[in-house]
Amino acid sequence: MTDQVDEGKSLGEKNSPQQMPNLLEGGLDGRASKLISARGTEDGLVLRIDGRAEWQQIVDELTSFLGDRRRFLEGGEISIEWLDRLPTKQQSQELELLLRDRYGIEIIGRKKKHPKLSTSKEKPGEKISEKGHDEAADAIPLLDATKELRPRSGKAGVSSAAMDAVDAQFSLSIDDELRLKKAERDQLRRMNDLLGDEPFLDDEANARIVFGTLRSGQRVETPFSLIVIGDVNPGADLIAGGDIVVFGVLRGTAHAGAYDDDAQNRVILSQSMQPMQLRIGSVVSRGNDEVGRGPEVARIEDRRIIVEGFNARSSLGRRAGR
Amino acid sequence: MTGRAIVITSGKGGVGKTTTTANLGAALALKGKRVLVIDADIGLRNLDVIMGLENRIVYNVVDVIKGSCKPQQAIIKSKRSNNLFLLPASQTDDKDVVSEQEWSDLTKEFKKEFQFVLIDSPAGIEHGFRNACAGADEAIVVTTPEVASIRDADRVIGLLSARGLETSLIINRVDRDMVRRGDMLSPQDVVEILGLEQVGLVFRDNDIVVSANTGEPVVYNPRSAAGNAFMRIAERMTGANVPAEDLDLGLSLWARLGRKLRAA
Repeated sequence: MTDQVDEGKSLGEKNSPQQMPNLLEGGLDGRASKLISARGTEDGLVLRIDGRAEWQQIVDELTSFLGDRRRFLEGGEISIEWLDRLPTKQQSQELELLLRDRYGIEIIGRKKKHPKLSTSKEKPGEKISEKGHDEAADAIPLLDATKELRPRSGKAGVSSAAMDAVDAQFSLSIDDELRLKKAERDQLRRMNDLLGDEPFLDDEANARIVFGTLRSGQRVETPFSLIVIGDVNPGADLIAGGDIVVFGVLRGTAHAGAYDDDAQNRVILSQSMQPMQLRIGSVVSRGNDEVGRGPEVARIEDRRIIVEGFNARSSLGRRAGR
Repeated sequence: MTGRAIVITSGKGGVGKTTTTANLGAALALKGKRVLVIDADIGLRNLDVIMGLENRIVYNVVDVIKGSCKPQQAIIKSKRSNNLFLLPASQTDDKDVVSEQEWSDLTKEFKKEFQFVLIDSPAGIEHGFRNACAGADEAIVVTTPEVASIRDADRVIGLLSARGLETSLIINRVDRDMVRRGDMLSPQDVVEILGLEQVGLVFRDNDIVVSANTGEPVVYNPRSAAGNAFMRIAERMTGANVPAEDLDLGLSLWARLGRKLRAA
């Protein structure tokens, strides 16, 4: 390394401040090319995916992302960090298969990051501020690299051998990252501490409200809680990270706590419960032909879903006491 | 003059779209309206067969759209009425030889000439369905009182409302006796799920089978229950104040109570 890295400043800023992509920004502004990014860490390569995007979009982006870097990544191991929400079980499997079969890449870990924590200085929709930038852990330069990035100059501290090995589009190689100086590594650790791994309760302040009847083939998915004002017909799917409330007849499929296998406390509430299927976390139950009178609530008891008449005092008490 | 373009669709196949199109067309023509029925089921045409006009086809809708002939050359006048015309589908082409835009333009042209343009949609929700909807202002969804048919109708109603089409419902092949015995979903059950208010009921009727074979729509048969039902629906479509069929099928109070108790 030829020059000293300032504390609190990332490699990325040092190299080419304007062009260096900020991962957080990318995650938030939702532009197609920013859904996926990668960075080298002490623990190897971490792929970060914005979990709020459409699943198909994520798969497409990932395919093109990996396609460009095939030579480099093939046969390796990666961890995946999901911004905002984890994929469903089925999606996870799909991803695992895609990576393994097509690229020989093994997924060795996954976790969820809460974007709010990492962008505390930022108001929604705004570009991240300079100060926020310094504090944000992810100002670490990323392998992701928008296409315009220049090949790195020797000044940035990459050996020419390493340089040769890396696709010219890359701003930073993994080797490079692994050679971070101790100060930087400490910084990295601090930032990771800041980001934290504690689960983010999506529903604390958020719910999505849908007005109108949901018909066969229609599907609403949200990382938050979901409220439907209308009927949910057979063949319609509701998927929520939090709870589900239907002001109407629930005849379709509802999945509460969809991103959490251990969603013990999620509930599904409906004015008239005639569901095709109910799922809470990883527990699935088929609907039957019984129709209860009045509103009912489905919740988990002993690893099974039970449905009982809704009673504001007892049912909500249970929910609130979690 | 601007006519009304109405697409008749169902999602599921075999529920009676084509029969409904032919009979509503004939019924509206009997009411003195100038009607064009278009077969949008390119590749699997059969509206012409139901109407008994198969042997008169020279050109078809694809020829018209592609400019190989004038519309007047392709349109066939029906046997029984001077007000009813058919534009047949092509049997040899694929549904994707025409685009939504072309369909839409075509339908708009015909609305200038006819008071009613009825479009017989193919089954499914793919290209052919989208084409059939492209120029329509309203939609009629046909369903039978069977779960699969209702499921598909529900899906289609969702797609139609996304397109902003005003949608009404025809429940076809209702068997009064089976409903009374509780062996068939009642029209009321169907309406409860689909949540549409404009409803017509057509009863199961063996005359339909005969009429499909002879190419003579049942509305010309005054003794046919289905024929009368289509006539009533056509009258409502022209704004006449014909009361809707009783969804309860005139079940006695006790029968209704019995059903309620069984459902509860």
